[in-house]
Amino acid sequence: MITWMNWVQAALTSLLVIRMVVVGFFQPVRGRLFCWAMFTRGSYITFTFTGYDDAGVRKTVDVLDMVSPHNPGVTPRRLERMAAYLELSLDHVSGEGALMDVAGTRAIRVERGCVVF
Amino acid sequence: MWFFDAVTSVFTTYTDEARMQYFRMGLGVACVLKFVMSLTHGGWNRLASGFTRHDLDRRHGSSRAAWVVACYRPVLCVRLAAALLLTAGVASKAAAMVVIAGLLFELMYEFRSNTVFLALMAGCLLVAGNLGDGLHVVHRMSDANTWAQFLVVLIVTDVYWNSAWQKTRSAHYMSGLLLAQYVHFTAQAQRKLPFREFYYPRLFLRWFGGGDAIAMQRWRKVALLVIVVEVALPIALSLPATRPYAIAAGISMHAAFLLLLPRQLLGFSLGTVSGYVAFVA
Repeated sequence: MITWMNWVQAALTSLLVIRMVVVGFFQPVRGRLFCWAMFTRGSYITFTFTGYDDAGVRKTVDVLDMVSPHNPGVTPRRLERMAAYLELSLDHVSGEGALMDVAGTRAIRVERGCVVF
Repeated sequence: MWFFDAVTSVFTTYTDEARMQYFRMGLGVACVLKFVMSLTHGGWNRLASGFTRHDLDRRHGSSRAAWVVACYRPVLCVRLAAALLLTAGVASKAAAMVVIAGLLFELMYEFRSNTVFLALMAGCLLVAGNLGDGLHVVHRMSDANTWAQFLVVLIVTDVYWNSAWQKTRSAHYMSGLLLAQYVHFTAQAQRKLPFREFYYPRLFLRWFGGGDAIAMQRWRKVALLVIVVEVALPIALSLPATRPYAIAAGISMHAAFLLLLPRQLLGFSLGTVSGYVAFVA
């Protein structure tokens, strides 16, 4: 027998479906850089950023990084925040060339030692 | 397909109560492994200092961040104990509530979609009528767990279809470049990591680890295959004739995901595969 509780269940399910469709459909595609950190407690170690230029040639760039092993992925904003935490400007990134194009969103390049967003 | 009947009958269709009991155990194991992982690899001292702590201060303000740091270690321990109780079927609903609280707490210092997913899956247990006691499973047809089981099917289907949709919208993924780059740099960096996490067999690296146009071409085929499997899985899991193949394909796909990203995807993969039992009435 159908009770009022079943109708509450139906209403809540409908809301969940609507949220899933709306959130899922309009969710932006975010890019992710690839970066692994040599992480030791409290110390910062120069690290290598590996990317590809527009011609598909691999480039490696040394970056001061502090990503924990729990969160190895780096978004452009996160890289900015990390640089701020280190009290460095992104000009301190060493290397030259272009990093990968990130998921068709924003190209990130390294030109004369400077990350360009 | 029982869940269409469930909708038309407003969740009064009878389902086997054992399905949600098996799911409870599977999700419990997934949470136990995720929570154990968060204790290892320096996780215990994670918020003591460093960038994560700095980011926490920036986002929440120093007083709220201090509260999160103070609760961090006790929450890690309590939620692990709750996940063990959930798996063992002792005070299952109370344990599920603590597990959900522990997962939501994690979102305060690290937002991950798979944490939200596990919290939602655990939320399905709260609305189930009979989660069973202990490791004993009762096969009884009733509508006690029908809504909860329906929600599990809905969430698993959403995860796969939404994931496929996101992938098709990403030129980076569709070109095969993302996976080619990922494997290439991970293979290079794995020896430099302070904790051993990845193991890529030589043959795998020879085929997929080159980081060049050939590897990209191979990964493009894999990328398309993953999308096809993700779209087909919920449908194939629903049909008795295709179900065994779907289970095998799903487990294989998640095993491959684990090869690429073991730490982050272990709990998610086990939680998703546990949800397969809900596709059977």
